[in-house]
Amino acid sequence: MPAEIMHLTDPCTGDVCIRMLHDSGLEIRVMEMPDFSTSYAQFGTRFGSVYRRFRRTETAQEITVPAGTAHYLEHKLFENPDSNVMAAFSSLGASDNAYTSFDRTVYLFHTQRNFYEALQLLTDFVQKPYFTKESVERERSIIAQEIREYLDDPSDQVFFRLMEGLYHAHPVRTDVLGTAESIAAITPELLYQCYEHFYQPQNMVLCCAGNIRAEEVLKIADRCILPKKVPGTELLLPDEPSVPFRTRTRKRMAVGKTQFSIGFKSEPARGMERLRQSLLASLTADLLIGPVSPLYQRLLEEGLINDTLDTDCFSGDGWFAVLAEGESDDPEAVLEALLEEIRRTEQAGIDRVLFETLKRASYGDTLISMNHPESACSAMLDSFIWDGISPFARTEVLAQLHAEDAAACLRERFCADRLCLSVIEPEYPDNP
Amino acid sequence: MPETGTAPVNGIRYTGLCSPKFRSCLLTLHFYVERTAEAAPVHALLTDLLTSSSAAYPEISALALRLESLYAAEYSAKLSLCGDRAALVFTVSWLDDRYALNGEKITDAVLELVLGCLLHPNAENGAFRADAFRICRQNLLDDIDCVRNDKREYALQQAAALAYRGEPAAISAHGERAEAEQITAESAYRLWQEILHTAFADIVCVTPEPRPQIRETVLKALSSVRRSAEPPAFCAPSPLKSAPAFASEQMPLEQSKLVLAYKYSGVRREVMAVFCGVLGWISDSLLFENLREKQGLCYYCALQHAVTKQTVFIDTGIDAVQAHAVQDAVREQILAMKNGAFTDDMMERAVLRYEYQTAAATDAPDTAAEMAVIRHRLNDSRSPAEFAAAMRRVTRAELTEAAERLRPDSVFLLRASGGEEAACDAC
Repeated sequence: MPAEIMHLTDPCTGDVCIRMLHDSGLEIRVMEMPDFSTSYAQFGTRFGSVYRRFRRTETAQEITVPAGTAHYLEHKLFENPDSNVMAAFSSLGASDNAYTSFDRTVYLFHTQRNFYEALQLLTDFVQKPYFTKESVERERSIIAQEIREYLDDPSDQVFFRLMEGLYHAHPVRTDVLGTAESIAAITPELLYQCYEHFYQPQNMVLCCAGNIRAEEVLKIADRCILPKKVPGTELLLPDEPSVPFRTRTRKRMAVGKTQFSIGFKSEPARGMERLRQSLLASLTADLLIGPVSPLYQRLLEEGLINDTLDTDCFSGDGWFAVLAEGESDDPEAVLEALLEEIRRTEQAGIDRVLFETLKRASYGDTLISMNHPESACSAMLDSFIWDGISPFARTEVLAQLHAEDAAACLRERFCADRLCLSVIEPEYPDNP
Repeated sequence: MPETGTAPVNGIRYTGLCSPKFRSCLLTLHFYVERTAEAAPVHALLTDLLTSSSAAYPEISALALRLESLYAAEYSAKLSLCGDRAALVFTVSWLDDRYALNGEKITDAVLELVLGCLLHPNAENGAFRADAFRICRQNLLDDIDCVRNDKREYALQQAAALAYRGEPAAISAHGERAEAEQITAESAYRLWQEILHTAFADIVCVTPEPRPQIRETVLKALSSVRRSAEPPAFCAPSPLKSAPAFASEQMPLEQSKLVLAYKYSGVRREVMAVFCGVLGWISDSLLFENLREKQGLCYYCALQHAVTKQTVFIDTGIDAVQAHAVQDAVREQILAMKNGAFTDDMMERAVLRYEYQTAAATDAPDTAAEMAVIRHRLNDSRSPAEFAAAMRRVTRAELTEAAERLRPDSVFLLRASGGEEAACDAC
């Protein structure tokens, strides 16, 4: 039985997220969406690629793991000595998958039928690690191929080279998958050690959304979630200077046109403040260079950008960056134009009408995006990872943002001395 | 999901889908065109020109701002390839009026905007306006130049060009740069007017509750254009080559891509659906289990089925030195199917996968609309439940027969330069 049940309600739509703290320590979040045909489950843990160094609180022992360990563990958890996990999901009519990002590893499935049987299967296999020397070795070549695939992906490369440029020491500068060299050091013992630390109910969340009942989910949790002894673990992050590691980075690849990503580094934030700052940074970036901005129109007319230009805000434990990325024959000119627009906006002030229009657009986006079991499930998981905030906090925070906040954001998060420009230039055998 | 359909009139078929679970509405208009080398880049250009500005909103940022003011309404277009034909697909989705903060009529405003873009484009004197045209043509040229950015997609496109050599389906989505450079603001406008008057239009609208006024507004607007068009036929099986063809290209890459094309004839759609499921679609398919999990020959091994062309593509990400071994391994799995080395459980999982996909499609307006359009294209009146029932009646003998009918047609290898020379043959 849960120690605590809370109903979180979205004032805009009436959607309800039932949040339960299970006796095992596991947080369970459910959105009942009975009109939908399908249901989704995501079982996630706060263990992603940035968890490279951590400390056991009771022994003060520090542990450092190679880059790519969380992702390797995700791959290997599907190994089961008794059955083929994927075939078992498939037999229930469910599709399973998993992913690892910077701050989490998530195991998931979606199905039209047999949801509770599949949920039992999900909780079961995630709680039964089985790593052997042979199977860990076999996986190495598969992951090496995955790494090579991403090395050929220009959008992945322009992003990770930007992170390498922005950050001196923070592990966000390293690819989630690690490198061929770093994964060579991963052993079954290391995977068991990481599993022991991070795959604890207290560090995990189970999110379900769709045509399901919360009380049935809870019954599965009562039956299947194993209480464990909790080894306290603390993530250790290196000191990170406020200035970027380098201001420019270039690479040549097989691409048709030069790709670029401009990143502005700034102070990280946590919980609700992180959400507020992320929304503000996204709105401010759109004001400056999004498709609605005069600068976007001018750069298009001058042929400096094309319609691939996009903005984003990227943040997590110890990092926060605002990005503008796209294709251009002259990324330096795009950067200069953006910096000029920042200076002009600082002097002229934020366009209040435009700011309110973008707020309204963000409100519309949020309401539509939560109207699907998969996105509802992901929003619940995201908000858990973001220090346990409500999945409906976005519209509330949005309503309280003002043009003055955007002006402050502009000053604090778009600093010319804290940026890096990452460029991928074309390289072809016939066009060296 | 309740569906209100009408038989095609004046070259337009309008289908309404309705479900109270949605908070947004979606309207999608498919204009079907023939694929030719000359027209391909113009078709691609039109999808940009007609969604980035209009007579009422001549600047790209002005149209974007209007869409944002309508609670982030999304208006976009793409070129959808369907065998020897293509569709210019214009889609707009918007927040339902019930959620407007100040009681705005979002639906009316969105319809006015989109119909304005299509019927009153950013043009004067029989040509698109120069500024918008120049920007969109540059976008197109960049798209053509960047076709090689996504290596997997590029390899599949090259494999299709090889498999369909001499057929309209071999033409790439954006066409060639030389042809794109020849497009003028006048020729693009002329072709759009021709499409408006002659292309069959398949229109689907998804709403939370019945909205007959959307249908009336759209049909009334389009009736201002004199149209005559019949629903096109899509099925155009690609002929098998007399001898399997092989082509390769070298690029500075880390991972090579190998795509094998097979063709078949005389196999019912439901049989191929089960066959493709067992061979490559289910999570423990023969290809995934054997090529990736057991033999470690590739990172991915996927199967695509071009129903209208009766062609199956198997695409893999490999080490170039393994190219020969991968082809052998694929052949072995097809042989395994011929020999009946698959279980009844795998066949059932293929059906379950189909049932899940069709159910999942009804949970979002865009996929619900897409499913309706695909059913129209395939001219198959069976409901998803009826099709699934037909899949369940497929016998093991029919699957082994399908494997027998699958013939190698062509192989395309995108080879990572710097790697060892691949030993490749044509299937």
